[in-house]
Amino acid sequence: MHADEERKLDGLLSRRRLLQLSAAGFGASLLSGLLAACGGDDDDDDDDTDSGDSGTGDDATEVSGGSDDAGGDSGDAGDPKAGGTLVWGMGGDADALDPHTTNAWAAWRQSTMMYESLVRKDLLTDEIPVPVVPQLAESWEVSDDGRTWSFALRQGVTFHDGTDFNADAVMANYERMSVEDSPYYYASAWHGRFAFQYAEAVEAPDEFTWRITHDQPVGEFLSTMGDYYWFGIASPTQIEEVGTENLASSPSGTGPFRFVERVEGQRTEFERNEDYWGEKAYLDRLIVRPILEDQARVVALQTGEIDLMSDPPPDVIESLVNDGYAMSQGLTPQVAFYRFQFRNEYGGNQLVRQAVQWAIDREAIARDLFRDTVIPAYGLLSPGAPAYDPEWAPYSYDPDRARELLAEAGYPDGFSTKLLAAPTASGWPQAGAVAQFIKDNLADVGIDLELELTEWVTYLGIEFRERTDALLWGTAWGMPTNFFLNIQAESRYRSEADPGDQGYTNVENPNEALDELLIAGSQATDPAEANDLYRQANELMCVEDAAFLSLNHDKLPHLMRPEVKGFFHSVNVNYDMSKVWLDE
Amino acid sequence: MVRYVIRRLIATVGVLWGVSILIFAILQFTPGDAARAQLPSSAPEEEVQRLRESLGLDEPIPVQYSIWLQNVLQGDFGRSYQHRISAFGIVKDRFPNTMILATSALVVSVVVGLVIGVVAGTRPNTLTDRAAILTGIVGASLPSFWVGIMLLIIFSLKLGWFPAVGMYDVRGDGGLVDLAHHLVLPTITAAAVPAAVIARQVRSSVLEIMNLDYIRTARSKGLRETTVVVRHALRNALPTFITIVALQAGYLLGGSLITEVVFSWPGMGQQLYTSVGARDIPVIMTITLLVALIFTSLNLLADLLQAVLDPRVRLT
Amino acid sequence: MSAMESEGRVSQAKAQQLADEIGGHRQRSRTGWRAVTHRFSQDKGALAGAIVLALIVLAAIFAPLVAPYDPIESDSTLRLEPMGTEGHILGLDFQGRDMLSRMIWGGRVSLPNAVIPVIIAGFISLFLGLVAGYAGGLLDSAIMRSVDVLLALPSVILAVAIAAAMGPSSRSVILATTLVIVAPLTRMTYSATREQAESEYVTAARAIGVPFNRILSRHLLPNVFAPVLVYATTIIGLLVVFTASLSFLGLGVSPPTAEWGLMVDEGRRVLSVAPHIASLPGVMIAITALSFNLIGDGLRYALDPRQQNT
Repeated sequence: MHADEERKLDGLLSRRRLLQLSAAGFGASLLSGLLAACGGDDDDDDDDTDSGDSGTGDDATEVSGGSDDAGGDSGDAGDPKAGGTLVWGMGGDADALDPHTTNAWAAWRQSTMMYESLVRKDLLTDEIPVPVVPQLAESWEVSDDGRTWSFALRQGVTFHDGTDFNADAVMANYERMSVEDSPYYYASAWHGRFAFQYAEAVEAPDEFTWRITHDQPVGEFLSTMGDYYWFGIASPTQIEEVGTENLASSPSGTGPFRFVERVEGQRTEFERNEDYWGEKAYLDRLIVRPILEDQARVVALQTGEIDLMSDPPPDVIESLVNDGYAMSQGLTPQVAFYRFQFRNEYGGNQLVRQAVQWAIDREAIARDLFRDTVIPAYGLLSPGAPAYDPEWAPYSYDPDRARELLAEAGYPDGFSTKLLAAPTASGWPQAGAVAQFIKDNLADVGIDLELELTEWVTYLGIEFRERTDALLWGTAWGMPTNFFLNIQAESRYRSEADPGDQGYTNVENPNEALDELLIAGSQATDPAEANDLYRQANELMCVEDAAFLSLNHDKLPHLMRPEVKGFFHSVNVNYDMSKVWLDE
Repeated sequence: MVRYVIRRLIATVGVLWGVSILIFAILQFTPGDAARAQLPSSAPEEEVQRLRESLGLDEPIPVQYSIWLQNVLQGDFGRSYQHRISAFGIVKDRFPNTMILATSALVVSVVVGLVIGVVAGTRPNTLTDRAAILTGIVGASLPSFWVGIMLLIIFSLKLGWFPAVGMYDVRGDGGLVDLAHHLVLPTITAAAVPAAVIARQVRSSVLEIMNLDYIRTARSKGLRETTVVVRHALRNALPTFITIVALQAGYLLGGSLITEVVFSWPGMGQQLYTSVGARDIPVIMTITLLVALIFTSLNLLADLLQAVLDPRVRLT
Repeated sequence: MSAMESEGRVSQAKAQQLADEIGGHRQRSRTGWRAVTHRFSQDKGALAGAIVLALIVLAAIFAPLVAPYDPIESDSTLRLEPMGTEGHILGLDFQGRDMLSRMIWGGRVSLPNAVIPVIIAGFISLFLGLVAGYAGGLLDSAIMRSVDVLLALPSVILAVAIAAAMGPSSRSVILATTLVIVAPLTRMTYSATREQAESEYVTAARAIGVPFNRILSRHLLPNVFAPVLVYATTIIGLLVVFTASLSFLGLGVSPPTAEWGLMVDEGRRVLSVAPHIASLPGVMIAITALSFNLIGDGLRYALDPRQQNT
């Protein structure tokens, strides 16, 4: 992938330009980030110019990771300065500022500033796999059978409302998600319910210890906990005072920023938490503005109404970078993919599914359509998942091969079928354009594809199991865990009764070989063993059975005024905003 | 008159009730529900079902409706599925913002529409007239999001005259000057279509009236043209004019959705846009009812005004 | 949609006037429609509109012969290329498709999507308006109160619901558009009918026992039809704009269909770097709307010569 990335880069930005960019725009940001980071990944960064390490080095992610390169040789950006107000324009509005209930990235990015979990994925490195670092837990241990996890909690931490943080607070948050008869319980707090599904016993043996025992080994539990946006610990007193349903409008966590106010549709304002237990944030204030219209958001950046923007349309990035704006992007735990409908006349044919895989020019999609703001994807393991292997590219663009496979399948002259997608989906950029690209690619091998593009929520209501007229049903999702594969294709999570069932594997008709790999993977306590199992599962699902058509992993580009420093893109969709500072 | 007003008010309640039933029915038959909208697309059906139950979405539709109606009659518009706060509170916060934009756009469109309409109507078939008609039609035929974004690119980006998004400078303290500054581009965008419509109608009213006998008489008496236009023609065009303006006002309050989205104007239209996208029924219902109420009230007001201004109009 | 609604409203007032006129003509002379065509052909603006529209329609009909490229075939290496690119005089869109070809083909979808709803809604509202206006009583209340409900409902909600329920297609665009304009149109035909039903002709005809279908075909229909026709031509342009708004909301026809409204919407994301993509179809919509309006004005004048008699 290293070399491929380099080639793709030529299309958009010269390598030299990128280096200049990183030097000017990011300077010492990573350096400071590294100093603050708990993980010792300095080695990686010292030699990364020739490492070719997936996330860093000379590849396209350098636009963000480039800060490492620059980190060593640029002193000109100066030391981080405290002070100032940063305005951040996002492409979506937060639904609710409640980490336990929200399903919008815009909201998670904001709750990440206010809330902390016991542990977190390191937001200050682009190492893969992403290390888990302590946060509200100082240390943790796991029993030999992989079932019991104990966390030693940090002492002397207070919530924004003044309440002391302790094991009772963790329990209250756990109960809010999973214990129906608890006064804290909130039915909409669904994330945790899923993550704690194997919980057998949860207890707080003393004031600063929290322990959870599962009914089976859960190899990835720590990693799941590390995606702390969903297990942000809220102040139990706040929950009691405002009521569990109203936490969204009166958040209170332990994070480096505290909530000031939210004016619906206009702005949400945060200020530095002066009592933060760790290194305090540089910014005095941080204001988030939802600006839904892409072009308006771009103009707002150019007029200085915002300093930092999420989700720029890929086509405007080049001109803004030429105007001196800084750009940061990096790999993220996200994958845009299609499911094959096995009940479709053609989708049930393994050779047809494989043919489609070879017929898609993923590189061209990334290069031409996305201007290298994505990288090609071949499987469902995404960057950020421990088993993700950046070198793994089982398919290339080979229409001849596709035609051969189609002929072998008995369709030398191709056939006509449908593709279902949603052009307006949030978190799934350019879905409409990609669908049209696929249509063009498949037309080249004789498959005539009719597109059916539907507004997002309507789209979610599509009963895919009944849509045997369609070959493909697209979506984009991501979890920085291997367990994502279980959710997608372990038979016990799928049922013929599910509206989204594709007929590949489900509880009624399980794919036993796959289940074996996935279950063993999820229970393996040795990370290397787990990764190996998951890679095999990925291969089986996406290459041999070819039940999924993966297209790309988003790099979530951000554009910002050159004065904005320290914005670092780890392999995550959240950012450590406490390290961001303004050079003015 | 009083009896008429009372009857119309009762009819308004009926219309609102009808609107509520219709939207509720429509939303129920629309594929995709709030529970699905809130969970990731690959979430297991079990979780979706659980959320559905907690939101009361698993009840039969008539039951859902009657629960909703009972609550509304007690003044409880429910809690937003998406934002998890009071739906009425959301709409209450957004309503003044829409009022500001709508009022501003209405004033602009009335002034522009009147001027263009009168100028064109009093000089029929001249170059001025043709130009006015042309501008009007083109103005009404350009998609408003295209107009909005073009204005952004020209006046915010290239010329730097006006800010691009929102109601206030988030770094500043707000204030009227700041608000006025932010109001310019959205106002132009929202006013384009109503101005064209008003101009068109004013023109043809003026044109008709100018041809009537009494205007000819007035002219033949040697009255000045302006006097004729203002005292006689406009006065007689007033009832039609009021009807149109009321309609435009209703439309601007409820329907400047696209303008609000393009300029990130935090009004009801923008909220409706996101709420529809999330099937957030309590919020959609509250906004729609409010818009329908305003719409019908404005029409009632227009009819009453007409009756006051024109004794020939009978209120039946 | 405001424009459509208020045109509908105001046309009520005008309906009577127009109706009197045409009714009068029909009473007096069998050659009324001939006079109408004659007057129409004298109107330069209307003729110009008719010619431009005819060109657009012809181009759309013969699109496979006229258009230089396939409207959905793309060359991703030429994405966003501006007007004047070699071989692509109007440039290429965000997918690398020829803009000129898409504009030509676009008429095939955009024109029917605007015209068909007007025809359907026209007939429905003629029927409902006539029934409600002539029959009165309970039927009147039932129909007109339903119309009030539809009028008070924001068109976005209606459109979302329909497009959502039926999936993205020309079919749902047509249905949504029809539903949005049927209410104002019905109000228009209703008040025109009421005016006629109370007119001297009809009252007299009723009194002497002229059968209903004769009253309907002789008096009501022609007098109510004319204002509807005029109104219809003036809103077609607005309906093309409305389909663009539907696309903005993600509810329009499904890509990669070439349709002007969808093209404007697709181009808006890259308006600052490739303004031609959204602007050209925008101009096309405006030209179409202008042509229809000129024709409408011509019709209005032809049906009611006194109006512009200065």
